[in-house]
Amino acid sequence: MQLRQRPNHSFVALQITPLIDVVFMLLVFFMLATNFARFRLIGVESPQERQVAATAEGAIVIEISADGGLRFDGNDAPRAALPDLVARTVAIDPNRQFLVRPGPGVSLQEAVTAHDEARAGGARFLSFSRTREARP
Amino acid sequence: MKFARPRAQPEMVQLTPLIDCVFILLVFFMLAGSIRPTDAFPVDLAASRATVFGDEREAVILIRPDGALALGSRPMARPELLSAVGAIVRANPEALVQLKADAEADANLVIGLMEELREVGVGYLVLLTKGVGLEGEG
Repeated sequence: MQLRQRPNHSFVALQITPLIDVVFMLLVFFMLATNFARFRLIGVESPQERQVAATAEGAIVIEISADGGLRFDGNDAPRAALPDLVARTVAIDPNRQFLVRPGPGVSLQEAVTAHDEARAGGARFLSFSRTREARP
Repeated sequence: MKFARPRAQPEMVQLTPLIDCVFILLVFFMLAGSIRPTDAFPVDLAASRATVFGDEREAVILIRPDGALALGSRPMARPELLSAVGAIVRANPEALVQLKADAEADANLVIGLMEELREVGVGYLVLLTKGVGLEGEG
């Protein structure tokens, strides 16, 4: 009589189906929830800039109006001339401060475009400012 | 002459390469992306040619064209928003406050909010924009 049974050496397959299920779930979650968006940053306020704004008396004001008009330092100018005007000023005084001042009804996109153009002209110290009429 | 008939073997689909790929994709999405709470409302950002790139940080203020405001995922009235941002800045004076304003929002409204944020003690303030001509970016 043989009481002891031989151990069963047959191959035991590891069940990986639940693992794959879970991994797929995680993959779908991360694919849907993950955000890859990167933004372009326009610095509008920092303690250094505030220092410059406090000391720079003769800041040049770039006024833009809703109808596409431009006033550069109080003088009417064509809108396309903004980078040139800024470049000419910066050539004389590289540390000159510029303020982009949108008129009533001007959208943020137009203000940002003017800011871009002034930056393209070489403005180092550039900030936004509100029109006097728009102040409460 | 009698040939031995080949015995029909059960066809096994090889899953190992599939699992490898899925694991690699999983690790990529886990490491490369970031998970954030959803914004309180969708905002179509202004386009710019700014050359500084960045991600969203601790304090993101949303501005809708009609002037509605939100701090991240929570819509807020202006006084409530200013006090919440003031609390963030008092806790961490180096905190970067980001303005996520709609391109169609009134520029003076956005600039007015910038001035009020400065008054509550915000040191570092940036405007978030998307790339020019890139609809998907931002």
